Amino acid sequence: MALKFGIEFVPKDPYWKLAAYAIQAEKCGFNNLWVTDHFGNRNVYVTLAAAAMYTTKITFGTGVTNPWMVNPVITAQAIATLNELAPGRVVLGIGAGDKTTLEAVGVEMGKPLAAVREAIEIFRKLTSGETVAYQGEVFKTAGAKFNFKIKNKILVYVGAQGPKMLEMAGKIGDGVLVNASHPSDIEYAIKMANEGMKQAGKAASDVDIAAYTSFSVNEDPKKAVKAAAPVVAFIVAGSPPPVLEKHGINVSKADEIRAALKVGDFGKAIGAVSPEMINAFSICGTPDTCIEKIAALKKIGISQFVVGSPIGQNVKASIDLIGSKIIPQFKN
Amino acid sequence: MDYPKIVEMIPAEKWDPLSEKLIGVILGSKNDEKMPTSLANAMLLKMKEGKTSTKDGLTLLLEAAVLLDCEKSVGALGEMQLLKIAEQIVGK
Repeated sequence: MALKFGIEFVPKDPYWKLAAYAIQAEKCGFNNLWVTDHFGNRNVYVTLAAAAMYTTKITFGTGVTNPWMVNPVITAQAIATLNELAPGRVVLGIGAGDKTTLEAVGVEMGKPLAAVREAIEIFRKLTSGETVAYQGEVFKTAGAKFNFKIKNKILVYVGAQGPKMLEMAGKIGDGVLVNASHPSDIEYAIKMANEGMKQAGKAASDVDIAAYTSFSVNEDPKKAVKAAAPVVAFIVAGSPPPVLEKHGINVSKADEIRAALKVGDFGKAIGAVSPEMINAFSICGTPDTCIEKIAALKKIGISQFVVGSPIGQNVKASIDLIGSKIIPQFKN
Repeated sequence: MDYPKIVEMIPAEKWDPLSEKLIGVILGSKNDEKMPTSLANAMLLKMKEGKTSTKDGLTLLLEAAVLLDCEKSVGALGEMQLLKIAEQIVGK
């Protein structure tokens, strides 16, 4: 089966830039468009609406939202309305959320597994036209119902990293967005998702397993690394010691990066990023190197490869490069 | 500036490569706030329709690129050996 390609955009840029990139990505053969959801950036649903208006084929969704920031009924309402703009091209991507971001607005992340599961249940019931009286551990509704009909089933992707969330994602998701780039991490994630799929009696082909990677491509490998380093610095800073040790990364080096980022010394943080860190937390290099790494992930069992931030030093040029040199290698 | 007239002065065989360069200038610009919404929407529509290298499409791109980054727009025109057009843009 041909590997699907997705692309992630962060709405720190205005809607028209993201819509332009979405048009370009669609023309370059990408199947999926994922837009991140952080309150500090532009609103994910408004951004997706702009992308919907100016594209015709690409499937798009939140990459990912969380159950905390807005009530799941409003998430369902937003996705259902987007589905009217682009029928059958919309999916929901949902995960536990980013602790730092949520804490900044005073939102507590209690019971993440239950919250994600319940939000998905409410979403599915509402988008199926049901009147929802729901008594969950985290969410309760007392007769929520949409005053409009949704004509098609909307797929749900679960963003997951930890073993329990991965297992649940395989069990209840139509897709799993695995937040990792290294083959060993992806292999482990697929193993955990498969456990959940088995529990639900699903076949491997029932669930779209997407590697949601940090990606950087350039004909000049040094430029690819230079673009990836800032993103990798943040990933390293946010990784617990066992994850770092698993990849042979010196924990004290990670502490250095974390300390530099904390005081806003980005130059020092980026300068401390090592080749081992780049290799562990990104897919980075020339088109040929990237093809080799993506092929390895496909062999492990992914069905979608998501090109995540930074994409490359120049986003437009990188999308063109992916469309002309990488995607064609995986179309058959 | 009369952008449609300027575009008419550009040889048609250069419209396609020039439109790609101008899109690069627009998307690479840091002066996002200078982009009028109406111009952005019109440009997106042309991109969606695959008509950025038509006279209307190129006119929109040139206007947007000059608004967002005049220096790089002139540079793009120079790279295409369109120096007289570049001079018109900078008002020489």
